[in-house]
Amino acid sequence: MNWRHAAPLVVCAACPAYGAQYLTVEQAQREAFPGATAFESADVVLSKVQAEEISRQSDQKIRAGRRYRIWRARRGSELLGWVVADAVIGKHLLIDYTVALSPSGKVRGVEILEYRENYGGEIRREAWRAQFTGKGTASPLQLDADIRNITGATMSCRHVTEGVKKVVALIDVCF
Amino acid sequence: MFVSERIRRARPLLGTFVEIETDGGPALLEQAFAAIGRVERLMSFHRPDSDVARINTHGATGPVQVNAGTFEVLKKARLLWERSAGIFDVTREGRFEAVRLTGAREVHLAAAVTLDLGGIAKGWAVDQAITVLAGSGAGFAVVNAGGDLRVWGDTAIEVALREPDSGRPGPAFQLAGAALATTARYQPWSGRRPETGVRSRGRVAGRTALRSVSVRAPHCWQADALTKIAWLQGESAASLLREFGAEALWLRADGSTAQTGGWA
Repeated sequence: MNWRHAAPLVVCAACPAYGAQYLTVEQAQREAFPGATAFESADVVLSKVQAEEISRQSDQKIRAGRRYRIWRARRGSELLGWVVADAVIGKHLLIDYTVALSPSGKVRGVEILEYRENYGGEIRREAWRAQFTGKGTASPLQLDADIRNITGATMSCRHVTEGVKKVVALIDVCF
Repeated sequence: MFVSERIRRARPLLGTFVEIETDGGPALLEQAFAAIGRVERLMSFHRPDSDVARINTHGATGPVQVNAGTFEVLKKARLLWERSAGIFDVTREGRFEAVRLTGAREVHLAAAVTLDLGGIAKGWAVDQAITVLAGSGAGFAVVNAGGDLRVWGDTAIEVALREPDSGRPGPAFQLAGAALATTARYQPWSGRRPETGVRSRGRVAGRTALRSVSVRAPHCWQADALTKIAWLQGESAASLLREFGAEALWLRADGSTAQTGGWA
């Protein structure tokens, strides 16, 4: 099989962000609870007491005053479960994800919504776009969508896993 | 032929992010992720109830019966250990000869060694997911577990190699109907060292001059394991690669490349 070496995608010193979007929050809600007739907002801003208890349960340092985006999934008056949207930051990496939970607060699923990698520096649109003559007039973000498959990435999902533990504690403590 | 919409999702699994894209529909996508989840439950080093943990805890005192999938991976690990003259070794002590695989899917440790399937299980998990997707009538599927990936179907995909220093997507190549895995040297941008899963038997000349090596192979378990061997052995791994129908691409620190498979 041919190792046909395509044109290098990175030439300029300052490059735009690379990322991937899989789902919006609304799509993630509907996929987690397809039978739901409504997603009722139930945002929480943590009190000091709540933050301390969540910290204890999840073995992490959770700050008071932080707002968490939470929805109750309902079918009529029946509670089908919960959806929590959260984000974690890894090195150079911002990850939006949702956790779907059963009515009793057990994890039913975790979905990555979007991740963005930032390398710092200015985004030099023209220099970046100049490499892609023939690929259309898409903006750098759309062009980055062409890079759909990466090898050599050894990214730990530990932050998301910890985030999920925090979300489980959050629902347990606040509801 | 009916063309379905492609769905692409990513979930935290196997200690990394596993991305699956397919036109086979959401139910099939769920089954593919479930296949990955099964491998994690069986072969995770950290989970106390995985087959690996049970072998490490009890294997020296008596035979431990394991799941068919775990046994399959251990047989493949043994094959690679034999064919690589011990370079590929899934025990942390470099003593795979102490691992006995007996009939009825039993594993017995003849000495106190620690099994770690991290150098092969991720690739095998990708293969399991692809098997689910390919067996259903889906026309296209890509499964990518933290950079160990495999594409199935008639379409070729473009894969970018992540540059070891900056972490940015770098040079890209085409891939169709095959698997790909990459080992690169220390990547400060991610804060993690590359997985090895191999015991180095001493420094191999020219290894420190390598930036990365990518291996293309029919199956992802092969690519996963062979990339570690190709990293350590450099171009002397060529005949072993050929045995598995695999090819490698080495990127050196000076920007030059070397390849196997008959292309310049």
